[in-house]
Amino acid sequence: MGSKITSIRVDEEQWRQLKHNNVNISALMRDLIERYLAADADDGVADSIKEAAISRKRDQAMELQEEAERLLAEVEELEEMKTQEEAKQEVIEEGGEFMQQTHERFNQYSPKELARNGRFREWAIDHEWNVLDLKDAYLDYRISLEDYS
Amino acid sequence: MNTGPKRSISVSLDERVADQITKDHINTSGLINELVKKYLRGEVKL
Repeated sequence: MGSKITSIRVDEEQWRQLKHNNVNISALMRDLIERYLAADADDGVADSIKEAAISRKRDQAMELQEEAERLLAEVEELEEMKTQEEAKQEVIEEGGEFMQQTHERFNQYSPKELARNGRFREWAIDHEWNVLDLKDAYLDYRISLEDYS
Repeated sequence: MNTGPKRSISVSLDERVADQITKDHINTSGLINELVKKYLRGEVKL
């Protein structure tokens, strides 16, 4: 089994006292830690240190939980966007090329302007539509698109 | 908590011990200071 070097910040006063007593400080610290871990440390120090470790772990758990909730919210948002995009694509497909072209040409016109617009009337007649029927069908199409935008 | 001057020292720990400390999220310096304090008071025997 190998070993690892750990840097420890010890109270200056304690360090002096140990030096004064000719204690091998590194060896003492190693022994104290090993004893602590091996003895199921049963005193107040152990309890307070374990409490601190528990508290830290609890904080970590809370942070992870918050992160998980944030990620889940993002997932929901992405799923919602995906659903909307799919629904929009469905509307476009159902409307076909004609509705798509109609939208490209007349999406700037208000509903009132459409039926009065000469170009729209020509567009409807050229495609063998009744002007008012095309107006209604196109406005339904436009509203559906807006619903999923 | 003692916030007086500190001295950094390097301690070679058995890998198993070092791993255990890391796994348990133990503040090694905090633990050592508490244990040394108890040792100096004669409350910890080795």
